[in-house]
Amino acid sequence: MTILKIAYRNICRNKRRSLMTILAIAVSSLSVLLFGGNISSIIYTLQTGYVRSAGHIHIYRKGYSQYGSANPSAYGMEDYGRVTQLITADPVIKPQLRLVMPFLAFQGIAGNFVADTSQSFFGMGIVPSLFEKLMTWDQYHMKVTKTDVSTGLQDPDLSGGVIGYGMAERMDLCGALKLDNCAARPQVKKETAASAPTEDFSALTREDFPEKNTEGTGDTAHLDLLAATSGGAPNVVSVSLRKAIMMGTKAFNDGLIIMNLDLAQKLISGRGAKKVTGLMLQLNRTDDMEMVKKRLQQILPPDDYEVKTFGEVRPMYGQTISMFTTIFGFIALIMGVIVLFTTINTMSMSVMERISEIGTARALGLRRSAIISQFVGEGFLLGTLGSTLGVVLALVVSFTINLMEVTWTPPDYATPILLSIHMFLQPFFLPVCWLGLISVATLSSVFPARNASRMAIVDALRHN
Amino acid sequence: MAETQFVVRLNNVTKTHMLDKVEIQALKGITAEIPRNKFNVIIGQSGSGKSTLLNLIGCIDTPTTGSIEVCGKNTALMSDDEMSDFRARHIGFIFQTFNLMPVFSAYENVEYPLLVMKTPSAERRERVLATLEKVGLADHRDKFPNELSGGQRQRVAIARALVKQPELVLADEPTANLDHRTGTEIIELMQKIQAQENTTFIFSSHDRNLITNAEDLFMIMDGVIL
Repeated sequence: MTILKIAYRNICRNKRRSLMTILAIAVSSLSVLLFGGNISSIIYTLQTGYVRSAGHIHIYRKGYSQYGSANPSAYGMEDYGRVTQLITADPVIKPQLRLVMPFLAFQGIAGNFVADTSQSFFGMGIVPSLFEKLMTWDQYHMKVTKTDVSTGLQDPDLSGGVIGYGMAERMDLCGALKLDNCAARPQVKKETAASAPTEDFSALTREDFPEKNTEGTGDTAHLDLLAATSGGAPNVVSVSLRKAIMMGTKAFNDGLIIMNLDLAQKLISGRGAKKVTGLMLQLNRTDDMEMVKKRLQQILPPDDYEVKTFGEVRPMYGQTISMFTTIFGFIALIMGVIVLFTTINTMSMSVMERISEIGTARALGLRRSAIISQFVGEGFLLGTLGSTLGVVLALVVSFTINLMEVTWTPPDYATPILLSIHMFLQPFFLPVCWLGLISVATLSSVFPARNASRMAIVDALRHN
Repeated sequence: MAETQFVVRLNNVTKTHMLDKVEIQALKGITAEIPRNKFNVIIGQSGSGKSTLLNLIGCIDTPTTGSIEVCGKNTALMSDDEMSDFRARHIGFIFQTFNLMPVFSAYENVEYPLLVMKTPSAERRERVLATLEKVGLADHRDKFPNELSGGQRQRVAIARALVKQPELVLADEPTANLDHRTGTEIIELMQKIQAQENTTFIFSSHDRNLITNAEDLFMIMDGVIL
């Protein structure tokens, strides 16, 4: 007869109490697994979102990350073609590399003069075919959102661009872009004051885009963009909007314009040398990011270039992980304490009820260590049953929630994302939680077991 | 271990208990020798020190002063684990309240001391079945204690004490919880087994039946053997 068989019979003696203990451990296990699975899902969703929109690694001209935002043109990269060739030809980086894309980030003012609307915007010049590929990265097989996020832009479409739903609403482009669920702006009286200009900067774009007709119905989906060139002079281009998409964060949804790199360079560089802000590298696997970063730092002159991971470019990623890890640690600690006290209570009751049996077993020659093993075996069995039940429940609940495709909108987000629970993204998460709670339950029984083993045999035998 | 004439030697043994804050001297310098392979009975009134003496002989308690030699071993020189192993090999216990393990069947209760001794499984099975046969419970081996009568439970307890073939069997008022007829049956059974096995039995009792069947009688009064 094994210790576990004896333990099983003993825990069956008071079925209700054992069941309550097992349920308490199962609920703790369920909570830790669901919460951890959801956090894991949020972290990997966030990572997938970042990598899909901005790649894993950015390469900038030296000093860009510190001073570039105040003077982007001065820190632009002119030799990006050569650097791209250097990276794609490197035998260490090449196998890990999914794509390299030049990009141009800038700010300006966008105007829809048919509707008398204008606003500041963030511009992002991209290579459409590479950007579409960038958006399909899916190392973790994550379904982030139900909405279509494809830009639909083509490389030859040099004047094409897309904007967010929020910006389309603000700029009164819902009709022109044929958007559903897009609130049409109420009509406002047109300014007629003598001081109002009779012609705006949209007139400047007619020279470059003679086919564009800005007068009329307001159904033409285009925006006129004004920005400062690298020389400091104002420049204007017109972007033909192909569609509006939901763009993750509210700030991007309300103010980002994604356009062909060629158009962005035309706006920022004018007739000067064409520059980009930097290069985006997307890898096949995030796990290789640090290795590729080190390699890039070896092959690129450190005085000319700086290499940043997406976590460095967007510190919020690390901060979010840190916040959720802390909350998870706190919840796991509370659940562990609940399991600890529940098991200690159950095992102490069990010891109290079996004092005479402990005395008998000791009189028959059982060593103290064997008494400890017997009670620890019961704690282990309670922990195993509870923790395993928790895992089974967590798998059922997570499968159901994932199947239901429930969505929620995180703070400062414009797009609802799927509420999902993934317990297998981090391979050790589920086994560690399962074993962790079993260990807590087992350790909890050591204290009552030790007390049981230290009883004076004659006193224990008298306890009938 | 050289076999001597006496299985237990007590040399000026005292035992003092604390009852709340009051010191009670249960045994007052007992010196005695208990012969081997006999049906020995310790008699005395309640509170005379019978059970205390039996506990000391059974190595489940230690004397305040004096020394005890059981089966040729000085119990004062043994550690707790050595004492446990010694009990497991040499001493069988029969309790007044039977003290069977409620989660074990009759078979498993009898098997338990052999498990403690780590006896191989085939030998274990053979010995358990033979002992249950001896106490007349072969047909009740799968029953749990709550399915057995008082007499049957005490038979299981006797089988449990004898299955490991100990040198010494200690029984603390084994018939006290049984009716007269069952008590007599149990005494007869133990006498029969003692004769067959040639084992030393030491009882504590004030049961007239037992006293009349004793080969050696030790009378204890107020912590002293008379």
